Amino acid sequence: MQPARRVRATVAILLSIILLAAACGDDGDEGVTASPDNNGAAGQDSTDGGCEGKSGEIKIGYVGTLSGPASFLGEAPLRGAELAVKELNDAGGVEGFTFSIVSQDDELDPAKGVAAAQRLVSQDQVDVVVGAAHSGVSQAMTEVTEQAGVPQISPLSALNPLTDPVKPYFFRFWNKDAVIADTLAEFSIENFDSVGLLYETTAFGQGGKDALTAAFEEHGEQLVAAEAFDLTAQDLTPQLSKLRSAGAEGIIVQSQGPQAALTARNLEQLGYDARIIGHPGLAQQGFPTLAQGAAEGSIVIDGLDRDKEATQEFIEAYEAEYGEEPFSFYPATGYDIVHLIGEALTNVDCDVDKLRDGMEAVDGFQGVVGRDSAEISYGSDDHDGHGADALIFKEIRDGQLVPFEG
Amino acid sequence: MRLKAVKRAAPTAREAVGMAVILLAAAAVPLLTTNTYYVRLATLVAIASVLASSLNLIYGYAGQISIGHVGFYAVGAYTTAVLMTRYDLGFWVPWLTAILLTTILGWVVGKPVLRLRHFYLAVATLGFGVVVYVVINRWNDVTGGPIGVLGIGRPSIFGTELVDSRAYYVFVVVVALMCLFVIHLLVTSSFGRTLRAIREGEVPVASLGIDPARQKLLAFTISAGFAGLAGGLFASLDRYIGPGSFHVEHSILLLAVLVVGGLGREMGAVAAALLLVLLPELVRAAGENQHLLYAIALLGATLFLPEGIVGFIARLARRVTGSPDRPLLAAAAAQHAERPSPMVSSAQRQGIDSELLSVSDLSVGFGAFLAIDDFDLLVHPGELVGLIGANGAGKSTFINAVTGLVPVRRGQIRFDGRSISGAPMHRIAAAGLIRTFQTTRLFSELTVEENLLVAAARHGTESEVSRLLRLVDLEDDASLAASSLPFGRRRLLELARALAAQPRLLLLDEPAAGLNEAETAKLGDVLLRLCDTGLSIVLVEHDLGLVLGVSDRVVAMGFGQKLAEGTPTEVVNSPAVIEAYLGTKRSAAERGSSDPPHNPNKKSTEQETQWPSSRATSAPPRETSSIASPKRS
Amino acid sequence: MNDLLQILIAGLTVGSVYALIALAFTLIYSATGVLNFAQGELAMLGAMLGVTILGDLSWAYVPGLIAVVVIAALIGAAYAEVVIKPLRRRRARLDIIIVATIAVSLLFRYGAERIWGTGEFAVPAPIKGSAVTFLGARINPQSFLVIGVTAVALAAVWIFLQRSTTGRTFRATAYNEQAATLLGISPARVVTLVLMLSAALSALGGLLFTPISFASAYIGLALGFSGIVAAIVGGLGNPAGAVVAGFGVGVIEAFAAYHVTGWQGAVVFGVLLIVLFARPSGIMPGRLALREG
Repeated sequence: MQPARRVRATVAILLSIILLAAACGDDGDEGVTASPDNNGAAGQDSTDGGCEGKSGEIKIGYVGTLSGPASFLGEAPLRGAELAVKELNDAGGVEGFTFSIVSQDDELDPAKGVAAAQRLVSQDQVDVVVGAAHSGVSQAMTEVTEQAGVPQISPLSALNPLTDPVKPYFFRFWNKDAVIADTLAEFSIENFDSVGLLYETTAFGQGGKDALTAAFEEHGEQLVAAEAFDLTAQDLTPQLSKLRSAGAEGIIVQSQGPQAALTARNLEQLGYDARIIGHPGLAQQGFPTLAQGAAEGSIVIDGLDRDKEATQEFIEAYEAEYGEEPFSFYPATGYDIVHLIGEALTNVDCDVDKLRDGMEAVDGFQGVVGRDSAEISYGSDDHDGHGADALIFKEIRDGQLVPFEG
Repeated sequence: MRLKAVKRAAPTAREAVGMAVILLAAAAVPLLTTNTYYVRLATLVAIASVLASSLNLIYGYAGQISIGHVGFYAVGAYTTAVLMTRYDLGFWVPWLTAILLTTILGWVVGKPVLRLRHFYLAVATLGFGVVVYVVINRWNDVTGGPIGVLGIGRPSIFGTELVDSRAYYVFVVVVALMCLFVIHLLVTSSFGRTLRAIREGEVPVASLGIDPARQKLLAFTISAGFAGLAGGLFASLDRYIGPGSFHVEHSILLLAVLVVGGLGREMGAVAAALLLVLLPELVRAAGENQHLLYAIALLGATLFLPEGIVGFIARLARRVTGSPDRPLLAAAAAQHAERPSPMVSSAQRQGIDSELLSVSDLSVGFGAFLAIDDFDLLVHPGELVGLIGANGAGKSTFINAVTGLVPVRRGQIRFDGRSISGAPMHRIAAAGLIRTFQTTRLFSELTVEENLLVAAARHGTESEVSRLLRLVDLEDDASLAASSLPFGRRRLLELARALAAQPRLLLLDEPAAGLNEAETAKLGDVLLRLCDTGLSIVLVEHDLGLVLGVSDRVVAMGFGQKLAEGTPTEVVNSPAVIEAYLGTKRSAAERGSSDPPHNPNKKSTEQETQWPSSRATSAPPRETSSIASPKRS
Repeated sequence: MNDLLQILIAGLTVGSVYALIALAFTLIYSATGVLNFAQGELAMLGAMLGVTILGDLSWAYVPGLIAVVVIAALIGAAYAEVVIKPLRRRRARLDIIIVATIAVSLLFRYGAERIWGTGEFAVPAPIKGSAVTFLGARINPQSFLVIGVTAVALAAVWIFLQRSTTGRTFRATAYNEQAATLLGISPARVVTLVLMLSAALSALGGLLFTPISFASAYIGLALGFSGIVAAIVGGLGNPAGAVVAGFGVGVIEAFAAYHVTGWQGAVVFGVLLIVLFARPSGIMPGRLALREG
């Protein structure tokens, strides 16, 4: 054969090999053993005492923002989760099952979140995915976890569409936008005559804006102005000037990054005495620290009630482990989720493959987050976590969060 | 644009090996692993190969920097995604629509943007990328804003949706290979050659009658279409897209890896894709230091692998095998007829009295400075007009003005009866007015042969190229890079290239500069023979012996004006010229010592030297070339 | 009307940083033909050094500023020696040089991330006191400092280039390197000098801006972006054009954020593109832009 024909023949042969390989390869796609539908009757029929005789390890895959701005979103829950894992393992695990965590960075980028989820599911073969905080990332990740049949629990994502319609494997731990927005709207309308909004141009920001606009309408009111900023913005004076012209006395800040502190500083520099009403994204140490005193008096939603006993115990343990008190509720989310997983496990007699069903069977879970009355119950058509009684209004005094007094 | 396989480079042994390696690797993936993560990576590599190839086409080959190229990728991805999720149209229709849309968008964006040069083009394309990103991020109703588009399906083949990651991988690989093959055809065709010439210099390309703007736009449009194609494949991969994947940062990174992979080489795009997808995976093991490691690796690559990875491997291969890359096929030898074919068809050979080029009242100025002042010139078919003058007299400016490189302030230029003043360079050249440049403007990175092929492509006269090379004694160097030629031979190459463009009037700007005596003599001979075939030549030269020896007519210029015109003898003896060259008017007796060069074939019987114009007086072409070397006065 | 002045001042304040970065960028281009994509990161380094020196070490403002600028100049010199000069010596292709600077920008960014961490930092404002009312607008006194110091720095650079011998040396080299060599000027030394000056200017910009805003390892990307685009649109190779365009970009950005909030990125580039099409060589194309890539 002539050389050129030889080349072409090789190409054809190789292509055929590829096609054959794909056709003959096993249909099973994912590397995880969990399957979408219920396995046989394994755990069902046995009348043994649930978890008797079973043991093993629950592998948790954690995806969060561990670098870049807003890294506190990923680091804090992880810390709480690791604390919980350590405590539980030291106590012998849950019904003989120990825990382990593998973490991945999503760099606040949905595409990277997807890759991280893929890695956790295929390579690390985790039993459950915890993440992400940022709504856009969580959303993207569901494509992976739904396909793989691995439960995904987001500690903080608030975007409404995540649970509407309910995705079989996605669970929300925290509040959703609709509830947060409603609470914020009610509070703002009560305490301020005119309210404006400042939001970031991300899924988190946009989702919040949509929810807030709807919530205000439902209360028969309106935001006087809604100004946007990019995550790279370093000066918010134009936006704040607009808000001032609109007469805003209270400004809801839908931000998770440094721009919250920037708002406080710019307000001070402008001599504009509007008060910041913060989405829970502001409940982080960086806010008062970066604002250098300008954050005093800002109102922030937190999820920790320091009068609650469980909360005090948690704070003590956290301080013993990390040398400082948690600033707000973020670490508690990770902490609670691990316990939540433990409870889900016992719900299905420690059949790890049915963890999802175990989650749906959670009823009245109470953890560190929220007031005494706050609890989580899931169902097959309800994958939402906490409600309004986990939202506690606080204000910044001396750089710390204290209960709101008006 | 011609896609003909004429003179298409045959696949070399090395290229075939490279291809085989790629195919084997591609085939190995689904066989070796069921791990969806790795399969996803491999699919990404295939998609990235197409994207990188698209950028390579416009940047690597045509030399037009497009920093916002991911913008087209984004439009392709979003068009596919939105049409699929909103209208439930499956994959194929949205994908094909996306490809069409990005192609059109490429045309729309390219038309204005390619008028810009260099860095301004970079900023404009960067701007395009930014605008696309912002629109995607803010147009909530259509694109879902920052939240993105979810639930994107996969293509269906014979009724089955390719849900399985390996099945999708195979599909993507097949598509990618087809795209790479098409791009391969493009870059190895005469279109690809023209693009590479444009990269070397747009002015010389235009001077050969090719419109660089049109070629660039075509390349840009095609490139955008392929980027959009890749985007559609990406949308289906994760079944989710969000603005985060299309930030301008990704465009810049794409550019960087393409350069490191090997710009302007086909394999370079594949190397770029591997770098883009796999390098982050490799450095992941470094944990917190991974990004830093990535940066160091990139920096190291630029410092130590200036030709890119692929170039480095090629050089290594050369050194290891000790031989240059040989074609797999023996180069098809073009059979030439030995008799020289006329440059100009007999139908175009007009009477010697009709005017081919007519320049009247020409004035060309730069600011307050008048470079050419009220200049007239006529050139007849088959005539060789010499144009002499001191440096700065305006000779090169004259050529520049006539060929449209500099604007004309006043005056009329007519070629073949039609006015050409103000016409764009390539249009003038296409009419048959071809020039060479004072400092050679060859396509340095193309081979000697390719330089001519570019010029010949427009006329379909690629088979003539060998003959032209033989004419200037460069046939043996046909496969050498033009930049490797010594100076004198470069000028000859430029002459040959100009001839390949089928000129009717050739404007030569100091073609003999840097040639030694023998070479100059040979050149003169060539010029005479060319004129015999009906070609007209305007020869600007400092080498008086050459000019005076071959010209039918000589025009002397000084300070932008015509000093004298006539036969070589007349001009050389004209008082104005002597004044300009020698300063003072000299007596007849003194003139003998200035020793003008003379032709040994003609006895000089008087003190006034006769300058035999080989054309006007004698009929048959001379057999031997013997223009004595001048003794410079 | 109050808002108009407010936005203008805000824009000029940010614009000062862009102007410094744009100037720094165009100076490097003039002297070396290199497009330095690491320009923004040099500003970031100035900001971060400020965090350490003015914040953690609590130096006084003026000595701290000088220290930061000097350290930045040294970084610039190192950059010249390790990366730029070797590439020029090898006559590397333009795109290789560009990619090298991109790699350096990543190096700076992630190096800073390793040194200072992923968080954001604030620097105490050197001018205490609240907003000043001026023509109905409440203006942050910091703005005056930023714009003022920038103006002084720009004037100093101008005097340097036009009047001093070294400055003239630089301009000669930018015009025609070969000729300059023949006159006994060492282009290599000019390159180092320019890199040092450029790094110092960028760092100054970053440092000035930090008290108004915040600093992190990641701010270089956005700053550099705007600055580089300003330099190109202002007419690459023309220092005056770069400065004008830098301020221009800042002002346009501010007004866009005010009027079409959320779309400011697109608007800025839209305006720039219009300018480019109206004047394809930039607003004020530099004589020094004769380098053909």
